[in-house]
Amino acid sequence: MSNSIPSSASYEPTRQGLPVKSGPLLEIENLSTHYVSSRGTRVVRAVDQVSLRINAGETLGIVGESGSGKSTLALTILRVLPPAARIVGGRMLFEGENLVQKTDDEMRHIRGKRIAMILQDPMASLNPLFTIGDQVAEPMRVHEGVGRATAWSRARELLKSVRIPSPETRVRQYPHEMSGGMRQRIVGAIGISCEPRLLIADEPTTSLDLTIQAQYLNLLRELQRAHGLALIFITHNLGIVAKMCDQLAVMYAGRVVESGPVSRIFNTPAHPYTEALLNSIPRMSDSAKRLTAIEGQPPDLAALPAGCAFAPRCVRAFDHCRIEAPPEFAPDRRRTARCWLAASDSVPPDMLVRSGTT
Amino acid sequence: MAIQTEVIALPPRSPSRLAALRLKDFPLIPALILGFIALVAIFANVLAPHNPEIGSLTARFKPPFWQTGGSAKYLLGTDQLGRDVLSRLIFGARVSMVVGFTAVIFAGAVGTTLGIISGYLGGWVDQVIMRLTDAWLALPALMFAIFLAAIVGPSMWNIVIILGLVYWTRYARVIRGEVLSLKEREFVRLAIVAGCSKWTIMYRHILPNIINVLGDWLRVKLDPQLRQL
Repeated sequence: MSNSIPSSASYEPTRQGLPVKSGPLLEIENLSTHYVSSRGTRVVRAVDQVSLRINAGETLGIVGESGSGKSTLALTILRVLPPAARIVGGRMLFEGENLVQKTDDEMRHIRGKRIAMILQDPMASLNPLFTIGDQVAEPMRVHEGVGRATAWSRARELLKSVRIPSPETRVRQYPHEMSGGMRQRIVGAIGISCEPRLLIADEPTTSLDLTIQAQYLNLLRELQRAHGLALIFITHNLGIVAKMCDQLAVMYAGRVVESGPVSRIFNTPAHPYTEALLNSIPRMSDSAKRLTAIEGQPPDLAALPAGCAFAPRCVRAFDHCRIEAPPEFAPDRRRTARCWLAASDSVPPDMLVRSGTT
Repeated sequence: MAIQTEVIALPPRSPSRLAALRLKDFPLIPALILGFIALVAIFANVLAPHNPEIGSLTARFKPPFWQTGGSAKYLLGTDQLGRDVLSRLIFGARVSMVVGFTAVIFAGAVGTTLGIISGYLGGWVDQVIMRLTDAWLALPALMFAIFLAAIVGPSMWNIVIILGLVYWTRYARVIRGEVLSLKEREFVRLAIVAGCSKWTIMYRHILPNIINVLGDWLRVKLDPQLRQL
């Protein structure tokens, strides 16, 4: 497989359709997470007014630059934020339950059991002092209270399902005896060990080389199909998004600037930032031209400019962009864009604030 | 153009199993000395020629055997109550060993527990434990130990507990520092997102990973502890 975007303008996702149940598995509404300095003088709006939804069995890609709030969003969903961070508003409905209002103890029983996560650096995610079997078995023992023997035999099954050769001997080995790709697949096995409904993968392939990446992505997709998992895929690789995801959310400065089905966003990006991101990808067809980069730096989240956060870097910004931040418009059904340009070719803004259209 | 190459015989690789047995960096002499003292302590009642606590007043202040008036019966002479000095030394090794080891282990256990809790939980718990440690460190340790001994009375287990209570602070400090760096490691985060409770993480993921640091400290602290007694 290749990690580049197909050069043709009309990109169609190759993913096979999944039977999608009605009703979102996770629905996030106006979620805001801020980092507050100890005296409360500096507030970093890492996640600001984010609304997203993901259906069972679906894959949602979240892309954005470093510091755009992708990882904080993931940590917010699992409620494992660092002490300085506060969820200041919004709702997260997971299977109809609002995660924001759960107690820490209730959340602990959701983490790893109903929502699992694969971390940014799976290479370092294994405890060097315990065998693979112990670590794959741990979530089952914590959440389902199964005995050591049962958990181990299930761990062997899981290792087989993530294609670890000779799982019988591997369970008894230690992380240092595994290659990088294997360790990563083991982390994947830990993720699905309690058969969660939702798996959050936070840049799981950044530390791997390309062939291993491809293998791992294929494996993730297979697991997803086999278990009916919903997957939130956080990445800054749009090639992976094209390969893996049904839905896409583009984040910029803590906000979702555009969201919707991958194919439609790739074909007709509604937000200039998305457009610029897509233009900055190297393509096989026009190798002679220089890549178009996005000028300027991402804004300081503690001192956002007035109006649209992307306006200073936006080639299509006009006066109004610098005065008022755009709300979420809906250029068409199932799509949103935080851009005044999206307003012009659709219904007036107040009709279109997300809650009304979806 | 031909290039002459020399054939260099590589040194034969030593089989790893044998290498482990060669005792290359093993501290043989210290181990022998310690082993000797340990054996003496263990077999004290076999080795000691006399009862260390009962002397005969008729045989007071006997000099060691190499001085005039000394005899082979009391190799190192007797004390003011006529007790055999050699026997007392042999039994003393036993007390030193037991008290030294148990006091260090006790102090290590207290210090490690508090250090892990302090480092992992952070926040006000950390503040309370660390300020307590500060206050404790400000006390002159041995003086404090003697003071406590004066209150509860001198018995071997009292001494163990007192030494433990006096010396836990350093462990707490060092372990806390280690935990602070450990808890940022990725596998601890994975345990968090996998839904492990704080106590599970401390016990299963933090504690095993500080064992080597703790081991070093136990060894370092054992030495002065043995010498004090």
